[in-house]
Amino acid sequence: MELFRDDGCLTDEGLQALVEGTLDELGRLEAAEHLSYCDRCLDRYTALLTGDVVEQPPRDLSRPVGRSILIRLMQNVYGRMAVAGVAAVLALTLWRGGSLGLILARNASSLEAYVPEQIEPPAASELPPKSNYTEPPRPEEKTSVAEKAQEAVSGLWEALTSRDGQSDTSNRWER
Amino acid sequence: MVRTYQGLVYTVCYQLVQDNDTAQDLAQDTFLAAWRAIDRCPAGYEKQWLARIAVNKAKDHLRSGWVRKMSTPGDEVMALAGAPPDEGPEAKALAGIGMDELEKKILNLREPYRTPCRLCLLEGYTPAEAARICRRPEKTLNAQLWRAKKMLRQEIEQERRSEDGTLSR
Repeated sequence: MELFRDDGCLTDEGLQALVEGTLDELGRLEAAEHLSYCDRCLDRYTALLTGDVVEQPPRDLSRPVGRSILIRLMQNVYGRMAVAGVAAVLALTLWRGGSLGLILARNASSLEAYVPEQIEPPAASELPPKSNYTEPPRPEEKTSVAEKAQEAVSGLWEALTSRDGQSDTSNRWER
Repeated sequence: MVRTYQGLVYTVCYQLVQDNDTAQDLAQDTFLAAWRAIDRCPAGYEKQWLARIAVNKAKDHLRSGWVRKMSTPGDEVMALAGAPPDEGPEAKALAGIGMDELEKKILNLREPYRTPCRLCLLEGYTPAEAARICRRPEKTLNAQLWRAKKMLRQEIEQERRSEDGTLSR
């Protein structure tokens, strides 16, 4: 029996042999390779799969497939949650131990080494004539980056603790 | 979708691998792969789309089993991408016969091996060019070439053995 025609497509008897299960292993591999890219032969093959030819699996597949899909979804969700949890625990540990401030201060001092030298202001004679505009007073500038960082972190902490307090009270009210 | 098409998918897998448990595993893999790529399913062609995924799963299974069964020492060299073409037992066996004899043997091969071998071994096309001409995926064409060389080598060795047997008598 010829499995393939000269044009490279599967013969009718080849497809019938596949459906009847009379092909050897090499024949089945060749047929699978061909059906994986040839739309015409796939159409011809699926057209044969009707009625009594279609066998039902010994066990219903919907349950194991559903379980596998659920496991995949859980793995994704749990993976993300685990990463977020580890990051939160690490941040809290560092915060409570006071290491976060130290790290910030150390990084800040090392950053200061890269800050360029201050440029000397031009002499008064070189400046253009003053207009009537007067600059508003600027807030006092922090000289150290560490001070700025510490101020930002403590502000954030205050905001978080005050928000927690508010939510606690609201919950209490709800109760 | 699983309830509607599980019979079809299982049947495709079973007809190709001829084993109940493997067919069931492959059918499950098919539905998982379909779930991951559900947005690429063409509307109205769910049957063909699922059948193609099932065929691909079965093909990968059969191919790995076939490669394991047929692998012989020296195959690793052939399997490497960019490996020199004139190495390996198949290439040596083919180099040991005359061009006319090789052409005759290639043209006597059955499809789906004859056309890729003619293009690559006789007409000098690269596998990528031959794949375009035959309208087959390059990976499939390479697998067919690999098996065709094995067939040719077996045929040549069988002929040699029978010739040696005749001479020794």
